[in-house]
Amino acid sequence: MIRALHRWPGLLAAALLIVLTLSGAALSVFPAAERLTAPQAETGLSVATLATRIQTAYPGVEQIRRSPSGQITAYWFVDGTPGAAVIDPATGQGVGSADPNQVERWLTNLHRSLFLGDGGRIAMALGAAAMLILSVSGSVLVARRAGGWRRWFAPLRSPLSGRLHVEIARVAVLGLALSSMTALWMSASTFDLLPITSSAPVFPTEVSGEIGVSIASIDLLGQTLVAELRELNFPYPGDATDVFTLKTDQGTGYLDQGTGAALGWTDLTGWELVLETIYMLHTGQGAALLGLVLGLMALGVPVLGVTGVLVWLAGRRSRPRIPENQQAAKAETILLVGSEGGSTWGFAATLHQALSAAGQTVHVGPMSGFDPARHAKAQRFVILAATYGDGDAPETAKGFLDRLKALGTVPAAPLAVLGFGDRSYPDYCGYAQRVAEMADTQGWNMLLPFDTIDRQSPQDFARWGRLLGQALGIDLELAHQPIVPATEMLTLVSRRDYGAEMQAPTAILRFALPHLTFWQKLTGQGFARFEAGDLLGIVPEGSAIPRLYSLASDRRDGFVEIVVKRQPSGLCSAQLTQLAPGDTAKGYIRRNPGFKPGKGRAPLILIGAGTGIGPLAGFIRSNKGHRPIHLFFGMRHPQNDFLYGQDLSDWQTEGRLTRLDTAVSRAANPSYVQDTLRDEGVEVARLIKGGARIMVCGGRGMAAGVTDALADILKPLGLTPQALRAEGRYVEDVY
Amino acid sequence: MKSLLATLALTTALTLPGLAMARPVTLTTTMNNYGGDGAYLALYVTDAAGAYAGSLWMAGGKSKYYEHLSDWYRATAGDTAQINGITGASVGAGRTLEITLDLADTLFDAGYTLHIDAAVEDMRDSPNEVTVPLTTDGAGTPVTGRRYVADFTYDM
Amino acid sequence: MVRPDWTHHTNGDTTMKKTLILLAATTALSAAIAAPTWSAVRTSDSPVQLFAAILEFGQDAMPLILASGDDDDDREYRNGSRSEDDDDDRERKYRSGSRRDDDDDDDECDGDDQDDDDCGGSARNAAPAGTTPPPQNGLFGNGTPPVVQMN
Repeated sequence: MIRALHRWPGLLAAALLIVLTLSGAALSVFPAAERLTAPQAETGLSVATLATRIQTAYPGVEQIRRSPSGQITAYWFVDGTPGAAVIDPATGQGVGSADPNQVERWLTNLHRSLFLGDGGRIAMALGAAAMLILSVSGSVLVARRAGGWRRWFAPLRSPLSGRLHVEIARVAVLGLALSSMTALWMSASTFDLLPITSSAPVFPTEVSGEIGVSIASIDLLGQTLVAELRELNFPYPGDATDVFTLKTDQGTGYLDQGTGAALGWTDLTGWELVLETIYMLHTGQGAALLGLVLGLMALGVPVLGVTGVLVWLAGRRSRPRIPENQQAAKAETILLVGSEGGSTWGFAATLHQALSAAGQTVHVGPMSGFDPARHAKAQRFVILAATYGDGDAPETAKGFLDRLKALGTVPAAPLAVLGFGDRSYPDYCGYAQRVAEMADTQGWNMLLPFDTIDRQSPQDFARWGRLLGQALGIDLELAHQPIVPATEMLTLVSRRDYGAEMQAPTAILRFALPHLTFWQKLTGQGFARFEAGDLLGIVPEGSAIPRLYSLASDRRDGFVEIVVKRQPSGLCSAQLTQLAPGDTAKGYIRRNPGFKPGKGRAPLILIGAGTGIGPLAGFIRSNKGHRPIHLFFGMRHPQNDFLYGQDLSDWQTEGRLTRLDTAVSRAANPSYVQDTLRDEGVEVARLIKGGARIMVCGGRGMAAGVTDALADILKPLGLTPQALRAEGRYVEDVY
Repeated sequence: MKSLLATLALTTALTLPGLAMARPVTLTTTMNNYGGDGAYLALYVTDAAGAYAGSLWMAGGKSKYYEHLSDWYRATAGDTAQINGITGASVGAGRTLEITLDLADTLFDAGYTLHIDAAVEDMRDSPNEVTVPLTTDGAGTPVTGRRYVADFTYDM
Repeated sequence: MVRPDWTHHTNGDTTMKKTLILLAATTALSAAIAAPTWSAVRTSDSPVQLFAAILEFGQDAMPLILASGDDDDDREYRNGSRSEDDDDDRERKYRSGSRRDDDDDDDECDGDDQDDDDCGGSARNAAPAGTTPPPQNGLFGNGTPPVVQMN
């Protein structure tokens, strides 16, 4: 709902808002420029003194005005010829033309009304309203994505396609909301929707009839400071009934032109003060710095508009249509989807297609549309549920849990729940788990035990598909094809081979940096910016499904390096390990912000085995600051697969690596890296007490063993791996 | 029937003189290129003693700007009832405003003076921009304004 | 080393249909509110009239943008020259017809009651030419209404 409230005003008003904000940003410069160039009055200068100075220079002066930025303008008549100038208050002389800046006028008319009169003003007012809606809805969306209002400026954990959109929005939204609200108020005032009452005092009917008072002797003028002045109007020459009119920040009053006595005064009404403050907040006149800041924030809007449209397009492309979706009432298999980003729909589509091909009638719908009464012929239910943020319900599953709880009797048809999530987030598949538990509590029969898919792995999905097929008694092969991102051509520069004698040859492959366009470098996309710990997605020949490898180098190192082990039945690893220098592969960068050493000098404890040393070596290589790094590395045989052996020893000499402990699994005394960890338990505990950060990279089994070992090591300290994980001091890159 | 005819004759007799006592007058105002936004103009009439007699036209629709037409504003205190039904758009620089009004004959050759107050956003306020006595001889003679009006003519 | 691959979450939305319906509804609602408001704003001279116009949408008082040309004889034709910034104003003819607004003139501000602050006459805009006869100040005759031309 909020998303729709953000998407549609954004798409519809984007063009209008770009014009509005660009013109507004340009206009924001003028108050500051005027402030800087206008000769300012010295502090304490009274209106009387200023007026006398001007009158001396221009005896026919009619009107003296002071703009909010302090610029003094005088208008006079000499022998019937009108004259005007910007005045230097120190001398009373004219120093520049008083004509309005033509560029500023043009921009103002564009900004206010698109040169279209009242209709144009209304259009711009609607634009401001749209901007306000966008600011509010956008803020809610950002808070949701970041995981709460307090985490507004937290670095975004998942790589978003709309990252630029969010980054700019987070900074600019406050200014945009303020500008749009003040704009709406000003529009309301222009169209007389506000109860503004005029504060002009009644013109005095009785004056002294004398003329020719000396300005310097008028008390009120002597007491009023130029800093408060807005306008001083002189009486019409020859008209004894006319008076001086003085307008200040406080109000308006009349002065007798013969005696100088005050003939009437009204203060500014509250509404007028409010309107003027709002005018100042919007235009920056009288608050030049604020105006500039707001103008800068407004400059973000064109980028927001363009990136917003791109995000929308990308979203539409990624959501597949489900052809031949059976009606809810007729289908035998009901597939309910809880998706936030749309990717789970893709899996649903694959499942739908495979089941339909196997002769099933399948209906796919959102979880929020769940209603057992609608599914009269259902023989089984399948729920595919993603999790959003910190275990919340995704967009299309709103209200499902409540409805489930409120069910009197659960459907007779059994249920299978499949959760989609990311293990690097806390509360992995939290929502799906809650759904499964609730269903179980309600007594719903489970067709399959609760299962999860980590990071949308097609292999996991296929595995689950086979289990589902078994339960249904059909042959089910789920070949899910996620959208493949754009790839670059990577040329192999060198390779180092290990483990040739064993069945599992491993190679460290070094590719040259691909050529980047200027735009890519400017926006920092893809290969323009990557670090060890990020992932390289390789798309092998003959397959659309990419395989991910952890990067062992930074962009700054000047090459793209990964460690690849030949898998017995792996298509991608086979192709990669057969590359010769000069051959090419297609790849793209996938950021992995969760697995980085981070800034600072806190010690690092790096634990890895086999190919898991890749990113760890990258961290050590780029450790120019010589922060203490303690590496635990498990290998099979030091002669064969001591990856980075020479490099590690060099880095140790250079001071990039403090200490290396190895574990050899195929030796007389086999030991695994978790054993070595235990051996060095005292040292590890000391480092952790000193604020060390633990990074583990390798297979699932190794990671589990390391966690156990750490639990033991941390016990005397009163800590647990879970506690460290919550703090962000224990991160894993596990596969 | 007879009474109806009599009533008809009576009302005709009463209205005919009314019709004969007014004539269409065209007021033409040409603005110079003063380099600013549309000008607000107040056309009004003062009697032989100099007292405000009534408004003829207001070019400019937003009443919050009327205070810049200071002489008119002083005389009317900004009362918009004075210009009900005789308001139009503001006049841009270099443009010409031509208004044809049905004005009473008593307005001419009786010492009445027509005034135009003018004001432009962010530029000077020009009360008494144009002052011209209303006479049958003066019809068709252009008069120059002080700052914004290039010439003003009234034709009968 | 092979790892399970993954595509990142994109900011896609939910069903297209739901959003289209929402869009249609909000557009219709805004149009329904905006149309009489706009007409009212352009012509009314009191906030009271403005709200009355919105509430009495159904009545024939305000010509909406949905009006067909055939009905012009029965309705007021707004004088478009009221917008002061519009340099492209064209002449609009004055047509007579019954008009609800005629009854809603500011009675309390008639004539000489200039000192009445509640009058607020200066805060509200005057009626444009062609919508109401000129003020009875003795300067105008009863003949043809004002004709404006801007070149």
